[in-house]
Amino acid sequence: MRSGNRYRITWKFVGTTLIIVVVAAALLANARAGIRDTDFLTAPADVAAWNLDNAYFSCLDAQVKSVIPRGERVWVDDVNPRNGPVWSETLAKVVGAYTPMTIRPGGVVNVFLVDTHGGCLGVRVKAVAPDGAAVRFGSGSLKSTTQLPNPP
Amino acid sequence: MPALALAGARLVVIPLVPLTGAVLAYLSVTAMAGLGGGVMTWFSALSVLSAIVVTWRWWRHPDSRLWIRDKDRAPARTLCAIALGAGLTVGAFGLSILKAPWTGFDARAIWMLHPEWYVQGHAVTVATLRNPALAFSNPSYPPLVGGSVALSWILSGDETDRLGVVMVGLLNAFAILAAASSMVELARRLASSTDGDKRRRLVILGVGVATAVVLMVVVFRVGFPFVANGYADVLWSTAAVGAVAYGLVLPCQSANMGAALILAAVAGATKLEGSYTAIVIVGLITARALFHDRAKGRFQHWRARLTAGIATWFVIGAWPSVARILGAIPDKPNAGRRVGDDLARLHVSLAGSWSEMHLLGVAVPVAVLGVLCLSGARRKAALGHDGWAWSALITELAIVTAAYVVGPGDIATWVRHSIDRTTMFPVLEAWWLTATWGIIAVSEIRLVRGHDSSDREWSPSPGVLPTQGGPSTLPPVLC
Repeated sequence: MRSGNRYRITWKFVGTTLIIVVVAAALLANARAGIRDTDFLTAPADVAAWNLDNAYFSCLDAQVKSVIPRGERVWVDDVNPRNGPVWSETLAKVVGAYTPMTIRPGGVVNVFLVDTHGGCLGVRVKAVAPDGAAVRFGSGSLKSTTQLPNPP
Repeated sequence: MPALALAGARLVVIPLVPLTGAVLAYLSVTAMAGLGGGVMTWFSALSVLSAIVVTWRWWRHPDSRLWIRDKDRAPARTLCAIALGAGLTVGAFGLSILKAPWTGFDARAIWMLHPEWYVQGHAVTVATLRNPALAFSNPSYPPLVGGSVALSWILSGDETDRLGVVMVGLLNAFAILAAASSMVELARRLASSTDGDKRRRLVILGVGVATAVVLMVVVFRVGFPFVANGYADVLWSTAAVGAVAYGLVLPCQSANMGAALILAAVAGATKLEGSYTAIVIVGLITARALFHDRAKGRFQHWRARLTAGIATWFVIGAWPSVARILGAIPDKPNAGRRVGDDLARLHVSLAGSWSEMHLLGVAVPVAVLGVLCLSGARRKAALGHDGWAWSALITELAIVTAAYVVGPGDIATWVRHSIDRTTMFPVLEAWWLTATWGIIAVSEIRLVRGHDSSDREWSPSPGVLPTQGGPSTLPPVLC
């Protein structure tokens, strides 16, 4: 065999072997981590935490529906005292699915989340009528000693 | 039926059927918003219309009927069944995350909120598109996910976030399966382009199926935890990866182009960054097809190739056009005062991208080695040049980086909260490109047998001279 061809064959042999080894190692290592992640997320504590999260939003939904008639235009305050700024859109997510929202508080029902004992894990929906006279609080409660999960 | 007509009867069509349904849901919401009526009415009308078009085409062009076009694929049925079984098993495992009833932050703010409006019809949908109070929800985001969830709610009567999240999880799993099926197709192609050794073909096919399965698990790793919490990033990213695999890597055939364009439409109709990326991918697929035809001296299909590309662009562009005509408020990627000059923002976004793109440290050397060692095998199997797929990857990274640099708000916070999702496509694409070279490398393995009569069946790759002592003296792996 000519030396050029031998060199070429050796080079291809080394290159191909390297590719197979590197690709297989990388794929298998990450696949193993993928299996571990999946197991991790389905741990009983995580399942309980996300069940609580869903119950929290259901509770808020029930409170909103108890104080605002469907179709009523509302302004939503974006502060959630229970969770701080991370969950600032909490109430807007619930209200936005139910009734029209506006960006100005004047002349429409103003909706807030306020601290309370009981309510939905310590917060309650407060609705203030356009004239400011009538104040209503949502009904519906959820209690738990567990913390809500953190968003990703 | 459109999926069958475009992609042919093979493994990929199984995930493509629901994904094509999702594209029809997207078009239904677009038509409902633009013209009036309800989502379900439009979905029924478009489904019937697409079935009529396909039937007409099969009637007018008998050679396009899948049972004629794919009659030579019967031997692949066993492989298809094995790959499907393995893919569904891994998909079910990945979706076991649904045991944790997680509805993600953006899922509640965007993907489960939009279908609430769509099910209420034209007037509510148009009003929400124009409502600045709902800017946090990006109402003008493409409605593929929202439309699919809305249809699932209408059909089931169960209007809950939980069903919506399960629906998105299923779409994610189908897109992952569609992208992974490209590895099986790749292995089939390489096996059919190798010399006659049956055992070697079986090894290549087995490695193809195994790689597809492992890649699916890798997607669950890369997409963690967004596979099953109602987010749309895995959907558009894996659909785009599938589009690149079928349209830019696998041989330039109409069935591969059909699968690629459906997947590109899914990517483009799911999320904003997916739309930009899909537009580029469709352009690359069309350009590759036209270059391929020109190189082969076949010009009779250029009009069909061009029409297919433009039609896919039209699908992707339908919703943004309607939203603009209806006066939708612009998307708000990140609110607040712009922080930092362009250079500082570029630095932050590149640093953020690199934190997610470590795989390039493997993918680039593997690609270089592959080009040096295995280009011949790639050409022999009529696979696309690696440069096409890398162009899609680099373009997406450039689009994302440009958005971060010129966009509003605090770049550090924006990058921290989004970079793992905006770079999901390039990361997955790098995995697919790396795995592609891996399968090509395996296809170049020569299995050496003992000194029996079968030794004479051994034949070297083109351009490689056999050694003086015959095949048995060769190393176990040889190009």
